[in-house]
Amino acid sequence: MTAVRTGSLAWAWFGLPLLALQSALLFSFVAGGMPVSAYMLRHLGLCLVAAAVAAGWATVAAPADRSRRFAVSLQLLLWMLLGGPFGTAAALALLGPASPAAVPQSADREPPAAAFDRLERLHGAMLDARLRLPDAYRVRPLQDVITTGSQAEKIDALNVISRRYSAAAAPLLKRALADHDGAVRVLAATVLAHQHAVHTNRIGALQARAAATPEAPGGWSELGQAYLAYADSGLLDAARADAERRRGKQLGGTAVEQGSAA
Amino acid sequence: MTTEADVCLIVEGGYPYVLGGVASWMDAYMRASPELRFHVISISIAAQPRVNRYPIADNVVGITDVILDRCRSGRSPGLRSRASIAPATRMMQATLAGVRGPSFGALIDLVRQTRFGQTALLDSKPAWTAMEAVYRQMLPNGPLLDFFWSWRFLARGVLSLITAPLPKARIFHAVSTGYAGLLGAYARHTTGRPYVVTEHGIYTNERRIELAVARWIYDSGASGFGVGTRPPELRDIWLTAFTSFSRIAYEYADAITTQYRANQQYQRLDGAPANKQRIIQNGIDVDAYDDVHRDPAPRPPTVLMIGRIVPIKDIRTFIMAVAHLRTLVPEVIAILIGPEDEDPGYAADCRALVDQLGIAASVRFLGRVPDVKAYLGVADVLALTSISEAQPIALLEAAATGLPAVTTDVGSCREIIEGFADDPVIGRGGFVVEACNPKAVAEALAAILLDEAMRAEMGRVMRRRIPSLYHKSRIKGLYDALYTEVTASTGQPPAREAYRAPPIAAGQASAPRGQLSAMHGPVAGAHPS
Repeated sequence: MTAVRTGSLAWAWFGLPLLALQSALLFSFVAGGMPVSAYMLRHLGLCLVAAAVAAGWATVAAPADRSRRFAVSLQLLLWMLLGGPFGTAAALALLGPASPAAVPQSADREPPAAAFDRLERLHGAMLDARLRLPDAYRVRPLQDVITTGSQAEKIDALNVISRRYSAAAAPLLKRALADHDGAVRVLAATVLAHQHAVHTNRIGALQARAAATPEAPGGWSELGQAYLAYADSGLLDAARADAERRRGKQLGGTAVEQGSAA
Repeated sequence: MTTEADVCLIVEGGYPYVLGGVASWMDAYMRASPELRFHVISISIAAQPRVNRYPIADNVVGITDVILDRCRSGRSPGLRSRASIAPATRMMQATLAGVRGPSFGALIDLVRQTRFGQTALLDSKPAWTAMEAVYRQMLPNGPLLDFFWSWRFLARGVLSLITAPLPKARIFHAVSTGYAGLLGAYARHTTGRPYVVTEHGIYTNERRIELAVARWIYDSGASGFGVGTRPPELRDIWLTAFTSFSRIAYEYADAITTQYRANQQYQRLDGAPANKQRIIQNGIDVDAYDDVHRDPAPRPPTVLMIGRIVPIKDIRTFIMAVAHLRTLVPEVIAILIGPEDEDPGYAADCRALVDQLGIAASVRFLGRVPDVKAYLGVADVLALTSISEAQPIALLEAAATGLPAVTTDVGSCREIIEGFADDPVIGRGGFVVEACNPKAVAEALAAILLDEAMRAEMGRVMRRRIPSLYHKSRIKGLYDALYTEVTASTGQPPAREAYRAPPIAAGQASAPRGQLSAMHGPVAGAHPS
């Protein structure tokens, strides 16, 4: 249930005395001061009085606020009628103005711009060497590891390259292919073959898709981009990369033609 | 119980269920030794389909399956015997963590004595408590759940091996280290019979490479881009276990063989004592290739590739090389012979690549063929673009017919093609190029295809080199001598008293020779490596 809130504490001047009266009535009944029928009559009477007061409170409100006040009054009466003093207490809690802690305020959050500034400052501090990373000197460039590391280190380095391959790592892979250690050569070849397969499989799939819907320019465009990505992957020799790049551009042209024809 | 075998060959993940270089070697070796009776222990996992891919030779007296992920339940721990669980777990830890000492033998003895199995050592509460202590020592920064499953698989594998039924055999011969080597060590410890390890590829290197690119292993990333000094990761647990298996296999073995010199260095790094090391090459039936001669009839320049269509053979590089080769030798034809059913997805990708490169007119996929020899005579050069090999039989067979070859620099390909320091045959029989380099492969192939005199000279070198080193009768003589030597050195008389094997556990089946005909159907075609 979503309660319509009053938005101010003014109505508590009415709610709190009502709660006190209802509580006194209940205590009197529990202590044996009156029979059930008398208690019920007085309870209903209190509810009627409250309804009259609430209706007056809602009627005197400005037109824009009137419907909200009626909703609050109706909810209060329902709570009172069904729950007696307990209902009134619940209504006071629910219908009162929201506490500042209930809704996160913008003051609790750092504005994105401030977070960005902080990252910038951190980045700047690292660049200026004002902030030092512990043991940073122990991080060796992968190229050093591939050139001078032990077998285990070279395999670890190739593992890193395999997981985060970029064109910049291609010379390292090619260097590892010529390593004196057979196990290093085998792993380098495995990583290289996998990277080739990633590109050729993608090209194959896009080729089939473009052939299936030759009138769609998007298919040719994606295929052209896949060829360009393969050309720029660092995996191919210069002549083959040029050929793939030309093919990629040619397919881009096909995509444009198809787009204009459509 | 099965008839006593002369040699029990122990293989992991191969013969008779998986085609491959080592499985083909086993098949050829057993057929080349008809006077010996063989028993085969085939180690695999439950999910491995057990359909024979090789017709079983007549001198195979039995095949025993050992399933790594199923081991005997064993006795439930009692009030007194549960005290043995923690020490057994520590011995298991030492076995998996490569701690030097007699832990593996002690573990075998303890498990035999207590008759424990999975129930006590993996499924009980004391086993869980002991495993937690191991976890804190071995992977303090890693997730317990991942460690638990790794531990469970590795420990269950070891348990499965050391509770496996052993056939009666004079000699145990593992064709790799790893689980096969560990089972051999168990057999050596339990029966006292001689034990030989033969490594084609170096098991620890292969696992190291597999683990380096494995995506299923959790990495904490704590080491970032750093290599060298870093906290232990889950993959280290696996690698340490495999390295430990090799060390144990070397420690128990009476002799350790491999096919070429470079491998011996790796074996020594993993703890193989130099005095146990031997080189025994792969052998082929050279005489069977004597009658294969180059067909003089005019034909387009032909490149032959023989091998399974699987990623490790890097068929893609071969196809890309053919595309490049067409610019140098436009009328070239490339023939690929080998089964495509092991990795149908890869085979389909290769065919798609042929279409993608527009070279369908130049490339022929023949699949399995009944007689490879028929194609060796009508080819001009053999290509082998594998990422990894040991001593490829296909290369030896092609070389025996005088076919020059272009191979990648893997395994002993360079030794076969270029010879080595003490090689009695001088000269090169082809070219060795770096892996994953289609252009280099294409240029080397073109050089051979376009120079008839060089091609003929390379063929002559190959024809002379192969019989001198790789003749099956020479290789068989070396193994016979090795068996005699290790039998004498262990002081074992030829065994006639049966070793009383424990009862066959669930998931471990032993088939006597008499039942083999029903179990093993023939496989048509050749066995490409």
